[in-house]
Amino acid sequence: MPDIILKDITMIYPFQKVSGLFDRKQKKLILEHQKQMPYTSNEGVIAVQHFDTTIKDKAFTVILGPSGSGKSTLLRIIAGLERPTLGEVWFDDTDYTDIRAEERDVAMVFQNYSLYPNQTVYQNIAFPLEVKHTPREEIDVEVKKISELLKLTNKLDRLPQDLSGGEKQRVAIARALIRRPSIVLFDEPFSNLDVLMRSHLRSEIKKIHDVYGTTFVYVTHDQYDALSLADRIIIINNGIKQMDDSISEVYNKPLNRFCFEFISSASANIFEDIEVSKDGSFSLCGADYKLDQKQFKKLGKDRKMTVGIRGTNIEIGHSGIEAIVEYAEMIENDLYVHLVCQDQKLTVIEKTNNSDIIKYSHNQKVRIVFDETHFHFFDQEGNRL
Amino acid sequence: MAKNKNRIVLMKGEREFHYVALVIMILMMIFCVIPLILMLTVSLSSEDSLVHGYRFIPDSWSLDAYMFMWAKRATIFRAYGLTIVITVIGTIASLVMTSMFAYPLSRKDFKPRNVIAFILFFTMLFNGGMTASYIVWTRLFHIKDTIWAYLVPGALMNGMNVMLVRNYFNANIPYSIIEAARLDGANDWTIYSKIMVPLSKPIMTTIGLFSALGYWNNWTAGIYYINNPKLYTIQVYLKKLMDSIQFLKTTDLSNEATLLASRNLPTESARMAVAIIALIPVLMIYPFIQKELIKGMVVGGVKG
Repeated sequence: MPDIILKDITMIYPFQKVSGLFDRKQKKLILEHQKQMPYTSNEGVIAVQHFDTTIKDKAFTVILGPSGSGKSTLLRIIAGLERPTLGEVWFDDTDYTDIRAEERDVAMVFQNYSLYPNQTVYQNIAFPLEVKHTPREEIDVEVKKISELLKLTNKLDRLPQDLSGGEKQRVAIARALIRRPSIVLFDEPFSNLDVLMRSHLRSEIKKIHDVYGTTFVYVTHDQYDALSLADRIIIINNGIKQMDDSISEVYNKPLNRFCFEFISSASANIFEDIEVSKDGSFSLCGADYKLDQKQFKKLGKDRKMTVGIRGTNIEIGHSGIEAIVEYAEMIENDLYVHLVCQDQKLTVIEKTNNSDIIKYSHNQKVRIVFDETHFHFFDQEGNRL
Repeated sequence: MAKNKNRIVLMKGEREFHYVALVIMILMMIFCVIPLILMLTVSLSSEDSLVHGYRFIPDSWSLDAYMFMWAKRATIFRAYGLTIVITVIGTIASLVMTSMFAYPLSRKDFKPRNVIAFILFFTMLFNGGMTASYIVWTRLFHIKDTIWAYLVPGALMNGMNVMLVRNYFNANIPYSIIEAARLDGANDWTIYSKIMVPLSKPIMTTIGLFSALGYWNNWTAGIYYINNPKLYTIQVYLKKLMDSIQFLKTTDLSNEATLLASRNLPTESARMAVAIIALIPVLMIYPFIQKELIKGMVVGGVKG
């Protein structure tokens, strides 16, 4: 099983040409719109640019990024469904850039399942083995094995239309795994599923990865998926790689402000344009803190920076800075308390019971303390100090 | 109670609309069925009762037209057999050709698809005409007096049908299914035969029926290219029969034998009997494919 090496991948989708008699006006508008997009060249819209990475064999790698960041394009390039405009795709020592998808020994699980509607669950799962002309008895054994693993044994004679979303995605996963490919790609597989089903399938995928030991590349915009599944996370934005590291590094030492905000999601609190005095001290909501020498040296001449802290690293207690509660909400098992502290909006996350939601009311005064060991400092360009 | 639960509650004005729609539909249905009924009754009328025109209820009934056909049964059955063979082979070949042409045109990764689609569309609008194609088929391909004359010229592949199937593929089969199949290791033939064709039953039925009707009713190919009576299809045979009857009626009747023959021949009723005989297989097949046919016409959205 190979390492996947992406060398300087750039993907440019050509502008939609204006031609033909009909819809000319509409096409012109689309073209104008495309040209106004942030990353364009003379040829078209740049989906991925100068992307280099090595995805380790047998690792569970998650490519994380917002919608339109180019993560699915990257996955399609690995799969062989798209040919990059520039750059090369290598599996170990072999250049696969021009090798067709069907010859790559790569399987993929799609967001919309992409099951064959005319075939039963059994036929869907068996399809990759059938096209390889595997003997019937062997197919039976393999289908039985994988359907047991994915709890599909009693659904084998059903058509995809008779299955729930979660079951469909299980069939898609079974179909992808049955021929034991070298690489399995997941393109936002849980986007169409409810929260409960997501968490259930998430743990199943993790288990399957441990059982099969194949290289898994998983694309998602959901940081919970990324944090719970990945051995390694690659963060991408506007087609540019932002960070490529282990979960703990990505979570604890995000390389830039985008990574911090994206991985922290709703829990990110950002203090903009914080002035640092000559001795390295700065003030947040009236409380004073000090920057260490190493970080201070990296600051620009204007000595301004951005400070980030997660809601989980702010504590509501009896002492500290005064803040006013705007509202509180329960999200899963956490209580998100939205506060205002000297015109700065903050979100504090508390592990709590359902009944605690009533302990905060609108305009209630509370006191908060920042855990200064968890501050993240970024310069004005957004790079980590 | 259960009955009432299942009833559709009509809003104000909807009931009136339903009645008007029903009346219009009934009228349209009558317009469609009347010619068929007239055809049947005329074929069962005596020749004398048709002198003053066609009637739904003739003055006198007669099976003369069918007896006349029965007398020629050996030739008619052979022609029937040939027509069935041509229709079956032609329809299957046409479906295979049409869908195989449409499949690459529906693939986004097939670069020349727009150029080929343009050429296809161009030939739908402009072609070489009758004389040129006659010369090509007879002198280049030598199909005169062969079964190929019925199968190949102008019938094997129809540009319009290719467009319909391509549109069906594009609109009804998600492209990600093709991509999934490619990643499962399927080549283009497997994707076409195991996924695209089984998923296209409605449009295939529609195209198949139109194609089969085209082959069944194709008498022009026989007139142009066939001289050997053993290769007459039912339509060609009936056309020739009609021409012969017409010939007897219009030639010099001073000859006593001719006069006698023409008097005993059913003409108008025979025409209709011929049409009924040609229609029977179509009427027999239609109920079995009606459902798929309607689905195909709706999704194809052009014919019908």
